[in-house]
Amino acid sequence: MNEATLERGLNAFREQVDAPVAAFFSSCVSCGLCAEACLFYTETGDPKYTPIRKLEPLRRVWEQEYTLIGRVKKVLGLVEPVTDELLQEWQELLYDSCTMCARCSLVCPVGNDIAYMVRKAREGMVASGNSPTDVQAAAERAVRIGSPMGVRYKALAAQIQHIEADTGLVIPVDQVGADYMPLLSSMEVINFPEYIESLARIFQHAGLSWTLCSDAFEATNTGIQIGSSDIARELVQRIVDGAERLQVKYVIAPECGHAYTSIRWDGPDLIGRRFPFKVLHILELLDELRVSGRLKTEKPSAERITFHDPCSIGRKGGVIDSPRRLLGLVSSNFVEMKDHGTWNWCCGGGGGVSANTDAEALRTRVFRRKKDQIEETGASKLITACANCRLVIEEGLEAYNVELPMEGLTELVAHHLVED
Amino acid sequence: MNALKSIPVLVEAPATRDFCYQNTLPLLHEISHALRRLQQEQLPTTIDLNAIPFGPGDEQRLLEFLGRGEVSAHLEALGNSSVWESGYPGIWFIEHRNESGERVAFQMEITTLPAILATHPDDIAESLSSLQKALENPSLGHRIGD
Amino acid sequence: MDTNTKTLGEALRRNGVTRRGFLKFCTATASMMALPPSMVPAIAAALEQARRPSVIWLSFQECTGCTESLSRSHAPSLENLIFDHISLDYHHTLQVASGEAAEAAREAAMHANEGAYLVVVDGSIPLGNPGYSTIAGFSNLQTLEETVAGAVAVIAVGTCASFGGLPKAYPNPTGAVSVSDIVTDKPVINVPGCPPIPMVITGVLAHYLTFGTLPELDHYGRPKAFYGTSIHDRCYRRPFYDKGRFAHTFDDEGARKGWCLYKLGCKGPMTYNACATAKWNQGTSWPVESGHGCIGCAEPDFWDAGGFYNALSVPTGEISRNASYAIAAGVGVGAIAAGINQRTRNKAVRQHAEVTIEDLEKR
Repeated sequence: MNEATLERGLNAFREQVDAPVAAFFSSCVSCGLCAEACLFYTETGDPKYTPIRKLEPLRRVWEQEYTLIGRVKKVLGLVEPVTDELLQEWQELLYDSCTMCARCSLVCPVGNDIAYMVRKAREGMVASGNSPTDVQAAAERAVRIGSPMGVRYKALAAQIQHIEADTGLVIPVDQVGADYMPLLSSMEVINFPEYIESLARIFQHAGLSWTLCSDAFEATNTGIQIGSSDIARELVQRIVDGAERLQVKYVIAPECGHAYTSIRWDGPDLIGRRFPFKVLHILELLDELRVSGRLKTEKPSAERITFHDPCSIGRKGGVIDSPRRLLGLVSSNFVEMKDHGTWNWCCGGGGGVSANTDAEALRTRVFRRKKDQIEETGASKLITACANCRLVIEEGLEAYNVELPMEGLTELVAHHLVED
Repeated sequence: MNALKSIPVLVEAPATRDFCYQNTLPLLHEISHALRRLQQEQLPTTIDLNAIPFGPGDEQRLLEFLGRGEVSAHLEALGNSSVWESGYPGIWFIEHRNESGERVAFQMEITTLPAILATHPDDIAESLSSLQKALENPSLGHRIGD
Repeated sequence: MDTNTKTLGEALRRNGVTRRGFLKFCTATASMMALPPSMVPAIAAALEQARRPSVIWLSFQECTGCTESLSRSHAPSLENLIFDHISLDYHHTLQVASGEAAEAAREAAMHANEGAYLVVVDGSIPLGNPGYSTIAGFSNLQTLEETVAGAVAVIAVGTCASFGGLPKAYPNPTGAVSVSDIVTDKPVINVPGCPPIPMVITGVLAHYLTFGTLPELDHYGRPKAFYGTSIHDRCYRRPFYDKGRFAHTFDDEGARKGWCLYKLGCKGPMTYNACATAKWNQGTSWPVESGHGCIGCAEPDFWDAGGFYNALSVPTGEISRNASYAIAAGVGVGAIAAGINQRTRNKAVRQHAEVTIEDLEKR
């Protein structure tokens, strides 16, 4: 077919209306509590950013095609149809101003999972051609080249060579039968290669067999961000194929929020079968190693540090206690931000927002509260567990002229290991 | 009571698949997590089975699935109690009954040995002193030696 | 009252209870109080030191069902240990004494335990005409106010004492009110239910006896340990509700297969009580397991909440209550809508054309 049309979009919306969506729309009492939970509303005060309102196109399709009253109204010409203009207008609301951080889902008094519905509404936006061009381009690179940033294995091989030469560590690639297969995000390959070094250090320290996979090292999934299950499925399948080829027991999601969501939670549903391996987040693995006594670390330092929970890993992924236990291992002076754990305040760059230049000015504007919460802790270093959050926060702090070093938690733990 | 039997009541056995209330499976997963905690962190777990919302047949299914292992113990204290290890070592059942034979507690312990079986240190101390007292009794030598 | 100086630990040892017996007793007590098993050591330590409280039981506008429930409670030997250990100094249904001797017992207990005794009330209090319910020539209101004056706390047993119950149902001919409408300067624990689960009554008494404190209460003054989750949330038939499988009559296929009774008027979604786990008659069964929906007897004004067999709908009432109705109704409606519309959706799924990167741009 090779084109996006309104009709394809409407069909996708129709497809996405399932029992939960129908129940959510009929339960909404328009209380507006979700607005107060959304950083795009609280930081701008503009009511158009009220989360439930972002779902208007999907709500109209549900009302007009799935409810009796809506059908009658449609026959009588009393409804406003879903048009191309409407979808164009809503592109900003469904993409630029939503990170799918799911804070709104958490506060909804009738239990509506708004983030779940935003993810579904994006399917209709993609099919009708109303997704942001930057994210489209990233998806294209992901499918054609294998990485949304256009990173080929060649680039990774060069980094591996560098690290091996600098540190004397060994980074195995394509070793059939290894136990652990860590994934990486392109951002780590390009911006934060320290992560790869830290992995090598930790696996060697703990004495575990591991391998990278040359045709399945990329963990990010643009399909999840843009909102296309078809594309997401193809990208997940590549990882599953790679892991099956190498017969690994564990696939380790990197410090990247949506990558964890896509491989751990959405993956088996997308490909329609169970994985023959287990998926863990790197922090979960580190915490397991801590429990079994395979991490020997120096005395905790007294440096005042704080931690930013990536929404996809904490609130949506449930990895909340493991990072805190690991932080306790390396620091005796860890302080929480005002909003943390389940209730953390989003950095503003998730759900594809950071890849979308249309959203840049808005993203910087809504970063203010996160910046305030970081400053309030008085910490001299900010730790996180997502390369995307890290980049977004670094850029945000720079925009507000705040100087604060950041580090990934895996890297921090690796630095504190004691070598015998 | 026999009059009740004269009322024609037809009980239809429902199809097995529809009758599965699926509360056994999540519990089994919880148990496997508890076993892992026991293995890795030496942390025992106790589950109060009276607090689990079981549907008809759920308890039976759980007991059948886990089966019985090599150890069974019987306890007489304020009524009878049974303690047994399931077919999966490390998973124990403890069923307390009162003097009228009615169940007053039903628990599962994921541990190396349920606490109620171990002898209490105070009891050991009392045991030692009463045994020594018995040994000091001069008539004992005659009774055993002769 | 020399028994007051004896602790439970001493009493049990004198009765020849071994340490294992004591541990078993504590385990059963924790289970009865709906406390996690990890609390057993704390219970053992507390019970060792527990002292015998005096209890005065007052019955007002009630049907004696609550007392029946309690005295029919099973697991007698363990609860006997608890009851042997409280001093039930006045209970006009159960006590042998009558007339002036009975009232004298009440007054004696009040004087001897000034500021330390517990008052248990079942039944509501009529304010319309004091003559509607009197004991020994005193109106219920007089008796309650006089008895509560020196009490440490009041336990309102049953829906009548907790919320007014049946006597308060429309048009409330006697002007019935609940205990908490009258007693405002003392802690009041509501143990509603018509009747309450016996284990819940003893559990609350056991909590006071064990820890000497009152349990944590919800916004209706009910102990959270027993009234913390809705019947619906702990119901073994909940998976059917989530899948939209309902019984529509009491003899259809759904009823026989044990599907959700929501549409037959089950009030489980708005009712907070422990029936789904504690069950009734020695853990034999409970209403939903027997095939009948919950009637919501532990909630205020349940008699006036519409017919027992009408499915929940959205009334105009309190906000918090509305929210829970809204969830229930919303999910119910959604399930029906999803059923009707399965065809629309199936068609859309069939028409799905796979999205590839070639399709992202508009032409």
